[in-house]
Amino acid sequence: MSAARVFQKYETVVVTRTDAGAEAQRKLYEKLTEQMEKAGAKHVRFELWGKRRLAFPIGKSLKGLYLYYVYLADGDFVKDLNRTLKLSTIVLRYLTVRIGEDINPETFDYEKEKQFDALPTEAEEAEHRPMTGWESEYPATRARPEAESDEDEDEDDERAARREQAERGDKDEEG
Amino acid sequence: MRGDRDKGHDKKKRRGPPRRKVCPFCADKNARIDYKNPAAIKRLVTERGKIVPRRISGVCAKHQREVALAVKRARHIALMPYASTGAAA
Repeated sequence: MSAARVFQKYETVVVTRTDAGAEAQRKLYEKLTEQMEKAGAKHVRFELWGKRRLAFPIGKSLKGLYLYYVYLADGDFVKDLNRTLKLSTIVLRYLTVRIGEDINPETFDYEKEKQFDALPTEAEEAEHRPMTGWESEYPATRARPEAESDEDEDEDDERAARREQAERGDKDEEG
Repeated sequence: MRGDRDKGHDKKKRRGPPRRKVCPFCADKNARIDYKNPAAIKRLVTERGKIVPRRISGVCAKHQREVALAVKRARHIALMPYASTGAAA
């Protein structure tokens, strides 16, 4: 019997900037999964918790995109992974916790916990455009979609024109 | 000496012994203390975000240690505040 590598089970929560864009998010995800593969770590689960309001502002960010990884690896890998996360410019915070000890990767039941959420696509990213602090403070003044705002402008113009006419009319009558 | 102490004790109006609080996590074996679920441990911190002492919350020593760890982890990833003015939340 060959000496099977004994792994620990870890979970890592990564909080990234919401204004980084889908491209950067995908790159980070690929980087981490690639790193797992190279080190022989087993990726068990990936959850997308989505955008959440941070309990306190980090830098200038009020919201963060929460990502959750579960994997089997050894301690050295966690060191490398944390280094990658530390160096990434889009990561606000990360936390790795050991949740299981001395696991044989060959007998581990991967299916039981298997779940791989999809990362937000470009389109979805555009839909939920991250709000700046200012916009969330004053939701009424938030920029409207273009089509709508065009109509509004037209209406405003018309109304203004009518008002002008009316005013002129008033003056004419007076005079 | 002893007489004095007894006298002082008699002056206090105590209506029976204080109610023993039961640790909510010992009572419910299924309740998990998890930093990933801040809603569940929210009632063990004050409005300002401080961890409630166990003499008030009634949590047992073992579970209080777990609560403290969970709160600190949740704070690190900004799921819970380190401190808040109360008005903000």
